[in-house]
Amino acid sequence: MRPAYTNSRQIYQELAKGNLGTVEALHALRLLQANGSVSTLPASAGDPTGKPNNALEELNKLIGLEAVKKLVEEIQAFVQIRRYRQEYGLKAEPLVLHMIFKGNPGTGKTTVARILGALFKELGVLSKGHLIEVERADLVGEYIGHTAQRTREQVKKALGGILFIDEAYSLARGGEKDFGKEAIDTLVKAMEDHKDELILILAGYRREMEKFVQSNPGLSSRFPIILEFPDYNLTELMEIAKLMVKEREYRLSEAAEKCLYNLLKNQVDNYDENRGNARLVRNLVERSIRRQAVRLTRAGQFDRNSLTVLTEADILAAAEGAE
Amino acid sequence: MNKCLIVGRPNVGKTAFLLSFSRYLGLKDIEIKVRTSDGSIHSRKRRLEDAYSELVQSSPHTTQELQSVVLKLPVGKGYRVFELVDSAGLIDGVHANPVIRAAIAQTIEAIAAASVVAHMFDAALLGSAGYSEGIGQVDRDLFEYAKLQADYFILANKMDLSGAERGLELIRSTFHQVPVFPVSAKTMEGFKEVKRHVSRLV
Ligand SMILES: Nc1nc2c(ncn2[C@@H]2O[C@H](COP(=O)(O)OP(=O)(O)OP(=O)(O)O)[C@@H](O)[C@H]2O)c(=O)[nH]1
Ligand SMILES: [Mg+2]
Repeated sequence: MRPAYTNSRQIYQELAKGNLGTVEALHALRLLQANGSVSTLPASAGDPTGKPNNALEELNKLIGLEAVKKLVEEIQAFVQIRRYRQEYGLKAEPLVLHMIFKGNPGTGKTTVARILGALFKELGVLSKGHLIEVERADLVGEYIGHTAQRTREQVKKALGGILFIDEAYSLARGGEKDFGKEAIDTLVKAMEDHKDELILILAGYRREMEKFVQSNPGLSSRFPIILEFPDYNLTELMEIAKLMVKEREYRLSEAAEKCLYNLLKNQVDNYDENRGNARLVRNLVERSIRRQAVRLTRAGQFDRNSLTVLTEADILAAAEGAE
Repeated sequence: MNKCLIVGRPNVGKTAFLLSFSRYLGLKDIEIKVRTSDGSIHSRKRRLEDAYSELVQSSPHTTQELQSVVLKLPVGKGYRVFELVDSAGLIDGVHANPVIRAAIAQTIEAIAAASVVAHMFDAALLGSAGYSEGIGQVDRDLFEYAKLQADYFILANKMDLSGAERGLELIRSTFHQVPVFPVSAKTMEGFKEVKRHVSRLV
């Protein structure tokens, strides 16, 4: 299910996360105000929240992310071999699977985290394998002691699965007196206390994460696995778009495909802040689908072919709305 | 207590207006209440000129939280007390810095809680010869949304600079049927009219 904005809080949160721009957020708020709610689209077949039967297969279906796939395969092999060695009474390295994810928004970090949860469940490393996604505001409280309590609550929810902390460096933001530090201390303690039932992933922008790790010397030994999520390149973005369109049972006209290609190329060539961001591709596709609906309704065109084709005009209208 | 929220793009002079307007109403020392985007609140007491040199800067995204001053306006025989709130500058798209994004989200959220919204523009920038972008999307959408939520008016700031008259015209021809007040946070020009207008709203 894509988010349907049924209350303004969701919109504020998406805005803070960077999933919405200010202009889009103001639009959404106005719509919400006008209708009481905003229309929703059906859940897509390829929704990453769907239960994968086989986590690795699910991972390999993702477009791009070659380095990530390779590293995950290594982790899987390592976990398995370690288990066999234990059976023979051989020395086994301690299994520390806490990770750092570095990359821009929309590069697949949450999706991969979710798949890893499922993988570790399959491997018997985690009992549940679910993902709890939090950010600073979910952990940090308003008075001394409050933060520790809130952080412990989140940890508790994540036991048996993965606690995914987005923009983790924001915990170190306010300096010594900030409650963020209390959250970090509580997390470190939770990692010791629940060694076998919790995996922590710290995620965020590459540069900020590197600074964060450098300025907290204890971190790199506690988080031995580092995955880099590069921006998607133009070919990958096109593949992602086409897959999304296909999953939703639409197709792009030739002109639409060319138009989409040029739009994305423009972003990539101009070093647009949002280049290489799969979430934006998704927004564009979804917006095109809505534009198509408006166009067909106006034209009174409801034949099967018209219903499945996204035209150049739909893409352009969607892109304009995105500005 | 009624809130009057000042919103607008970065660097249009929101903070300068907050402080100048406080001075115009006779304050010398002020207590600024700061509400950060993660919800904590603290207070800073300053001499007005110190606050000005600390909080008003020529670089964008200086203000990254809501900062407010409680002000008294004479109404009839008595006073009306209200909170003038300064906010983080808004941009069209998504900012790469998460702290600034949080501040922007906080500003947008504050609109719904305000009873009066003062939407500020840099008239001198809009009117300057080299500036071709015109009035941007975020200002248009802000206009549409804020006037649904609150009593809304426009402040065309930096009228002391050359080109500002042209900017003021552009603003007036773009946004119809709302009050537009030309002001200068630097010279306090136009403050009398703003004061009278706000007294009627809060
Ligand atoms: N000439 C002139 N300059 C002004 C006026 N108002 C503000 N400035 C200048 O414009 C710059 C930005 O002012 P601020 O008050 O910091 O702007 P802001 O809107 O609060 O900016 P952010 O907090 O970054 O969003 C500063 O260099 C001010 O000195 C004015 O009326 N006239
Ligand atoms: Mg400011």
